[in-house]
Amino acid sequence: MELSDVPYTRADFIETASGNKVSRHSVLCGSQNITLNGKTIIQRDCVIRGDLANIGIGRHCVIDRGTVLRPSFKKFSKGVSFYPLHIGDHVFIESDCVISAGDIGSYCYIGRGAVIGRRCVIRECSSIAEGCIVPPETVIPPHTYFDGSTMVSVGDMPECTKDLMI
Amino acid sequence: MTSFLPGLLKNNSVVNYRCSCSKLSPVYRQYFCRYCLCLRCWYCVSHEPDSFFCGNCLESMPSTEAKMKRNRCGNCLCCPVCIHTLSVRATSQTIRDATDPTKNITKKQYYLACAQCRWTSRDIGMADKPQSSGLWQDPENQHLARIEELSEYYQSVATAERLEKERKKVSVRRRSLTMYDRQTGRRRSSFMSSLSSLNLSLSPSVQPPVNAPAASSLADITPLPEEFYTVAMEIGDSTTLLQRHAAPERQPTSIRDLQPLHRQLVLRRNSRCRKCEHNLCKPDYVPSSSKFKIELLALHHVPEIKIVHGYNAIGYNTEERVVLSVTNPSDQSTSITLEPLSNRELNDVTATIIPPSLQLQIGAKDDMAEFDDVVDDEKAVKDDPDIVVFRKTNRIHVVTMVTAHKCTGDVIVALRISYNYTNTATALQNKGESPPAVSQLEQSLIINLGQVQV
Repeated sequence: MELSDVPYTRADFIETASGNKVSRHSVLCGSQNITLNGKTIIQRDCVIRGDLANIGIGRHCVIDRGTVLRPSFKKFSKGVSFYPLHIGDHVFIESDCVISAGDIGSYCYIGRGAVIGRRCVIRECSSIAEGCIVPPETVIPPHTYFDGSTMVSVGDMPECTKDLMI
Repeated sequence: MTSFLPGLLKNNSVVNYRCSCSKLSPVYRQYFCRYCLCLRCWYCVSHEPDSFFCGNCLESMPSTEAKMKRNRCGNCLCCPVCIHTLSVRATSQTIRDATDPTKNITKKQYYLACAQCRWTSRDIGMADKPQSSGLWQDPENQHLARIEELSEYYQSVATAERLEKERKKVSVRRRSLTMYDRQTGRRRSSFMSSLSSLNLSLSPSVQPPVNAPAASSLADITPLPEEFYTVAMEIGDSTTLLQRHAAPERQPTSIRDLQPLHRQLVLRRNSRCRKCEHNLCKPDYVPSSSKFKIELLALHHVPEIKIVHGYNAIGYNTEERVVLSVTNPSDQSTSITLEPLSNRELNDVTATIIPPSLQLQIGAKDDMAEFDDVVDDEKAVKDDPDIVVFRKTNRIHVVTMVTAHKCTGDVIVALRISYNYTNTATALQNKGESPPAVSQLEQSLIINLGQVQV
């Protein structure tokens, strides 16, 4: 089905020169460390923790309501260090997700309520099902669809995922 | 915000195209053969393995090497409990220096741990290693020698049978070749001289090796120990069937006998048209890349039809307005015609659809259009607002009228779309001497508009 146009109140969003639309009701901590590459939409009630580490988000991304982007950390004997979080282009993150991943490739889809564990690497054109819990330090290869709490590869994403995500 | 992807992921698409084999599937799951000029679905193409790679370390390997390693990665290990990838953790250990007992040395020791179920290599008594990789040895397979003996024996049997077949074929040809030529009445000596150059012997067939080890049956079976009858079983201590079958050579019954498993490789496949044998989809060799060397997908060659949101639920025997979006994937403008299909041509049709009867023009796909704010009014197509309600570069929204003829079940309509297709394959073959051929193609599709409202 063709996606319907979602009307929004202009006053509720801050629109930057490069076309990023950030909701005034979202929480962006450490905004100097957050990079939005253009035409990205951040919906209300999102929490982006740029105060912990650098967060880079690509072009044409959509981060839906209530999602938390929180960079992961590693304990050392002398303290704690946070890993930067990179999100590619054309990534669609549904509502109420918790993202601690290290790297999300381009053209990915993350279903509603998914929890991505620390230092996960999600390659291009992959999808995470609704409610899926991705264990820490997981590498998801390209064109893969993961479902369930045990993260089993259920099938392959179609080869034209790039065109479907645009 | 809703997304179409949940339908895609669950494989319940509402718009299905009919393939050349008459099966229905979504357009994003089909391929388009531009040599045969028709759609090919998943079942119409032959799938060939291209390469193998590990899903964790993304190391690629050819099929021969993968076969030698039994389709397992040599570096990555999986948890035997939950099959999640194990990670290497480091700890520091203080030990006395062998040369100077008064001094202590801090050494790093490594062990394996699962981030999902918290299993560690220490649970099975595996000692920590001084290096992070290369020292995690697999336990010995006590059946390996027997399996290798049997596989060598069966390979030799297969070779002998193949040689026997070839010998019989050659001997049949030799008998037929000694016939006399019908026209001249002379013997065909040229064939005999060519045969003499081949070293063929008519000796008895090659015998399989006599020393094939035979399986011996056990006369005495050791009885079960008394513990099975007297001691209560600890369910937490026994492995599940999945855990046992993951290691078929050992099949451990206790969780203390579980060993880390090598991660299974992922296959990359080629898709090839079964009729013309051309490659339709060939992925890149690099596993981390999502690009394709050859990509003949239906979505890039066939106009895509989708339902536009906002239509009312269709009632029984009432006409409802449904808007369909048609997207032109090619970089040439095209003209399309929509026609309804009856139940005789496609089964399971429960409603009729009345699309616009005239030919509709759709512009070419333009990647720079989103950056271009200037609209050229002279080139803009003037549409009838009752037929085309929206137009943007390569997409139009078309009004259709749908009437359901069954009071229960889903409202299913069938359409045929005719469009002009510019075939660049022929132009490439002629090296640009002739312009690309334009063909008129047709595709049939079925649209499910949801439950009928009574």
